[in-house]
Amino acid sequence: MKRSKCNMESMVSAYMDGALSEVEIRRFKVHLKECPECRESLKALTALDKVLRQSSDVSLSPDFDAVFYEKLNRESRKKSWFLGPAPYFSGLKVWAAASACALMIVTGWMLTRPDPVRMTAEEIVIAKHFDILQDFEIIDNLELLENWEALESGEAEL
Amino acid sequence: MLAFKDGDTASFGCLFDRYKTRIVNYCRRFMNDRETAEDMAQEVFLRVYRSAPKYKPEAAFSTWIFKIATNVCLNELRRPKYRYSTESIDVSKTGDGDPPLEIADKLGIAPEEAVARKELDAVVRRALEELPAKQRAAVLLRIYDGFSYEEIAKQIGKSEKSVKALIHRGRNMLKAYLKDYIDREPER
Ligand SMILES: [Zn+2]
Repeated sequence: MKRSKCNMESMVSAYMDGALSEVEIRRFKVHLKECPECRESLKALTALDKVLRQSSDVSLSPDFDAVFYEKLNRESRKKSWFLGPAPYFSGLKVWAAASACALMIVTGWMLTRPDPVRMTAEEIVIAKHFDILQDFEIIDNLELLENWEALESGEAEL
Repeated sequence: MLAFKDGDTASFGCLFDRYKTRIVNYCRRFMNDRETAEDMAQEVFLRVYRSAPKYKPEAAFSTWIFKIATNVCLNELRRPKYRYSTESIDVSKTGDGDPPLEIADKLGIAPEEAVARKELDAVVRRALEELPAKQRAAVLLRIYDGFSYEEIAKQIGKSEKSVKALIHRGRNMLKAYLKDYIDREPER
């Protein structure tokens, strides 16, 4: 590789890549007009980029996805047995899942009581902040759950 | 990515589909071995999956995933089988790209042109293999994936000034290796 004599030659790549400031660009453009070495370098490196970009992308092996998901499954199985929840299952989600379990216990308790207590409006709002709980319609309509079987067979009145 | 970070596995599938070809090709140009490259790309996605909780949205997801890919490639290069291999470039390894007819079909070009393209692919990969690891990473990230110097600095753990020097030196080395092909390149 030939050593360049012009100390501005090292700016050629940054110029090509749009990594110079506006002032530097202006200065370099003026320099290009009077420096054959930098002009030559710019021409050659531009052609080089074109050659490099002509090299084609490879296609993926047909079983690439299958192999990957197999690896992923193996890993998550190991995790779920030894380390508890998968790593993405963290923070708020764990909290929400715990709340859901607690809620189910509380609901069970309420349903077995002879005179069920309704949740207060405030409790409903709190519960709704955890998106995982939004599937639990029982929060709003406890009586729907009480008449579940009858509702399914279309016997009970709403 | 933010949806995946919050535990949505379907969005992981989308990220995987969107980035897999780019990541495989990055690893492939880095290592010049198709099988190793696919293995490494899979390792990249496993790491993405594992470290999603650590992802900070201040860096674009593409910057982050290519940083992981760069780490995986650099680690792989540190393994003993690559450490002393500068003089023993395995030419047979360079023949494992897509077959010419497949290239012709994919790019809609004549078979003869596809043969020339395949030869060029092999020469380019061999030339890239000659670059020192971080220089190679910087050049690939710039030329094939279009990252800015600022992004590359984050990805390879160097200053922007070093990135600028690495890329320029890398280009000049490649220019020497690919001289014949550059001279053939018509001026526009
Ligand atoms: Zn100059």
